[in-house]
Order: sequence, then structure tokens, then C-alpha cells
Amino acid sequence: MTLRPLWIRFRRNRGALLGAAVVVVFSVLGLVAPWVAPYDPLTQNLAQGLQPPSFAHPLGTDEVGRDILSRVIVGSRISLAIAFASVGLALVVGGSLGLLAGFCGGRVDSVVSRLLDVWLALPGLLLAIVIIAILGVGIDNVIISIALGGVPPYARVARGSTLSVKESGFVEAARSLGAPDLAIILRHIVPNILAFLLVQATLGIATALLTASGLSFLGLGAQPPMPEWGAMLADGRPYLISNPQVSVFPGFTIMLVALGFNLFGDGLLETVTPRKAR
Amino acid sequence: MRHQMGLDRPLHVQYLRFVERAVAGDFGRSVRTTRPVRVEIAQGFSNTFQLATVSIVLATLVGLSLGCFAALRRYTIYDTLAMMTATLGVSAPVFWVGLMLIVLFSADLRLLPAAGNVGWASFILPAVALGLNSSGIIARMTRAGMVDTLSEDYVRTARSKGVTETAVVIRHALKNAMIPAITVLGLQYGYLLAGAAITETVFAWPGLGRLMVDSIGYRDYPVIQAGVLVVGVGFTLINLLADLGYAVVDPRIRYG
Repeated sequence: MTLRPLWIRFRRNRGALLGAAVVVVFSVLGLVAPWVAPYDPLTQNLAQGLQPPSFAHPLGTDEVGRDILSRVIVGSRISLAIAFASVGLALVVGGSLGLLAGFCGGRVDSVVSRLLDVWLALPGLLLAIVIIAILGVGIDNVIISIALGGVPPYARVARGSTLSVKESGFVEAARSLGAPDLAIILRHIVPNILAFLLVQATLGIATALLTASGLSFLGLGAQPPMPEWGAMLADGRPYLISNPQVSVFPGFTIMLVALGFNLFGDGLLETVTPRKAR
Repeated sequence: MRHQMGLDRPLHVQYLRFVERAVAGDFGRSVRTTRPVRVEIAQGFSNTFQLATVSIVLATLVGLSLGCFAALRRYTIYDTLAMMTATLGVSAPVFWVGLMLIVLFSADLRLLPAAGNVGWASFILPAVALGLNSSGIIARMTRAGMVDTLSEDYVRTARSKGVTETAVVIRHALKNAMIPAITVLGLQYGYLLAGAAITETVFAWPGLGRLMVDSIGYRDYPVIQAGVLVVGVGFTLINLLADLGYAVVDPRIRYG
């Protein structure tokens, strides 16, 4: 399969290109963060506390004199890692559940579908808060709790697309040649439903990022002095009026990255499922 | 102490006792305040319910208008701008927007109260912050539905009959576009009820979400248990109402 026609369709969507650019820039930034940050994100310098933006500190400094630009850069590694890890986990769990339900059908399908109905009855953020209440505060538990809250959409997408792929000619052909179920799933079904799952995951990363930073903002996720965007924002609350830079820049970054993933995901969605021709 | 709280009994006995009491509305007492959990939850729920209701009304008005605006000017620069705004609304972190609103309207302009529930003016900022994500989602749904219905034959028929443009848009296109939007509306209302924790923390709103976050901090398990139950039931009820709402908008759908 060649990707060229898809790329041509994707390229026409300017918003999606913008989103893709934001996603690429911040992903690269996250990878190389420790080497490009101008200062150490944890070193305190009380004499330089609460400085407005300047040449030395482009985004200013926080209440203990840490460089905000460096903290935002290193924070991209932490915040994106949380978002990617939780979406990846949700994708694997939800995708497998949906695949199982769609492929087996019958009783397995009804059990999984009812399970998902109950699962959906608790909204994501509440579920995340509850799981953290049980497991305790911390980044690992944030990843687990967001992943668990995010499972149902992937399961639904996987189940739906498995149901349609299962009926296609090539699956029937493989089956009539005597291919075992596992081979059919791995060689024929997974590659064909993966595109839909990955598009869903791109949109899911924006949500995961917002939920993760929200949990950290509430003090349930990343703990200070870790430079996580939501936690940084919460740190800046006491100085909101006098030194807004401490809260403004991390919050703006969260919005920018979430916007990037949303635009990118929308573009991908339009590319793989073209609606009526314009 | 263990015996008094029933913790020395087997797990399933403890659970059955919890269910037995919960059905009767007895969730025990808060470990933190020693007030009955029912009272704490009822108070928080009432505040959250008010806030979520104002928010969803606001979000629906904004979302529907923005979605219609974009759909009527589809594939123009106005459409692109409107949808960019909606995506921005979906992507904005509630807590950050809340803080920015406080800085702007409470600190700089001194127009609106920043914290607590003290009269109608204190609803404005939290309702805007809380409803922002939902208005973006509703706007996107409305636009998608409207773009589909506006190209339908019955809309063309209505136009050719000489029905005024306003009536075409509202009675023919919007009414049909609303059907998928109602599910989203119900879901969003549920999310607002449940997800108000962050907004409530920013604006010191004495609601259920903040009560639960505080209770987690104090390991006040009776309150957490009851809170989860109330939100879960509320969320399910709202979705049921949304499904029933279909039948009101669309007479083709009948239940029972």
C-alpha cells in the first residue's frame, strides 16, 4: 500500500499541517529536552526569584528562581511521556478487548459490550480520581488511571472495525485456506483496524494531556519540584496577580500542544474516512 | 475500634452491610467532619448541579450558534475560523482558563467575584470556564450535523417552496442536526457534573468535585464512596434522559 494519496489528501488541510508541526516540534523537544534547556530545571536561585521575562530568562523565573523556559522544555518530556504511556496502555487494553469481542462474537461479545457499558457509566476524570484515591498519588498511578478511563472508546472502535473487516473476502479466503484464528487476527485484522485506532489515539493524547495536567494541578499527579506543566501552574497560583508568568506559560503550552494533537487527529480522521467530496 | 466499624468481618459481609445502608440513604459519617455523609454530599451536589446546569445552558447556546454560523458559511474562511475557535475551546485546559479569567475580571477589572458561591455574579466565571470545552465539542457536532442536513433534499424542497431562510435553518436543518447532538449534550452534562472538580478547585466552589478531591487528601473513604455512587447514578440518569430526549425531537423514534 502506498501512502502517497493519503498524504496528498492530508496536505490540503492546513490546520492539520499546523497541528502536525506542533506535535513534531514538541515530541522532538521532549526527546532532547535535557540538552537544549538553557538552565537546570531544578536548580534554585532565590536571588533571581520571580523575575519577569528578560534576555537571560525568556519566560521569566518562578518563586525560587528556576528558569521557566527550561522547566517548560523539560516538562514537555514528562507531560508527553505521561500522555503517550496512558494512551498506549488504553490502546492495547481497549484494542484487545474490542478485537476479542468483534472476532469471537456471541457470548464473548455480549459480556465485553455490557462490561464497556458499565465502564462508560463513570466519566473519565472521576474514574481517574477514584483510582488515584485507591492506588495513591503519583505519576505511575496517573498513567494507570487515565489509561483505564480511556479504554472504552478504543474498544468500541476496535470492535466496530473488526466486525466489518471480519466479513471481508480476504478473511474468508484465509479461513478457507485453513489459517488458524490467531494468524487471521494478526496478519489480516490487526493491520486493517490499526489506522482507525491510531487516529483515535491521536485525539486521545490531547484528552490525556489535559486530564494528566488537571490531576497534577489538583495535586494528585506529579509532585513538586518535578517540572510537569499542570503542577507548575498550580505552583504559580499564589503569585498569579503579581507574577502571572509562572502560571501563564505552562498553561499556554498545555493548550498549544493539546490543540496541535486535536488538529493533527482531526486531519488524520478526515484523511482515513473521507466524507462527502467538497 | 475495628469491631465498632465492622472491619473485623469478612469482606462480603462488610459490602452487603454497605449496600443495605446505602439503599436507605445512610452512608455513615465523614471521618473528617463527623457530619453525616448524606448531608455533606447533598450540599456539594446542590452546588455542583447549579453550576453544571448554568454551564451546559451557556455551552449549548454558544456551541449551537457557533456551529450554525460555521455550517451556513461552510468551506469559507469564517467556517475555518469558527472551527479553529471550537478546537481551541476543546484544547484549553479548564484550570488555566479559570485562572486567566480570575486575573482579568476579578483582579484587574474588579468586576466579578473570584471565589465561592455568593449570588448570581459568582456563577459567571466558573460557568464560562467549565463550559468552554463543552461548547467547543457541541459546536463541532452541530456543524457536522448541519453540513449534512443542509445538503438534504428536504431542505432544498423547503427552500423551493419559499419557506424563509430562518425557518429552513431552524425547523428543517437544525432540528435534524440536533439528533446526534443530543447524545453529546447528555454526555457533556454528565461530564460537567462529574468533572467540575478542577473548576471547583480554581474558584473555591463548594461543590461535589472539590469535596471528593479534599476527601481523597484526608482519606475520608465514606465520603469518597458515596460521592462516586452519586456521580455514577447521576451520569447514568442523564444519559437515559438524553436517550428519551430523542423521541421529543424526532417523532420517528418511539420507545416501548
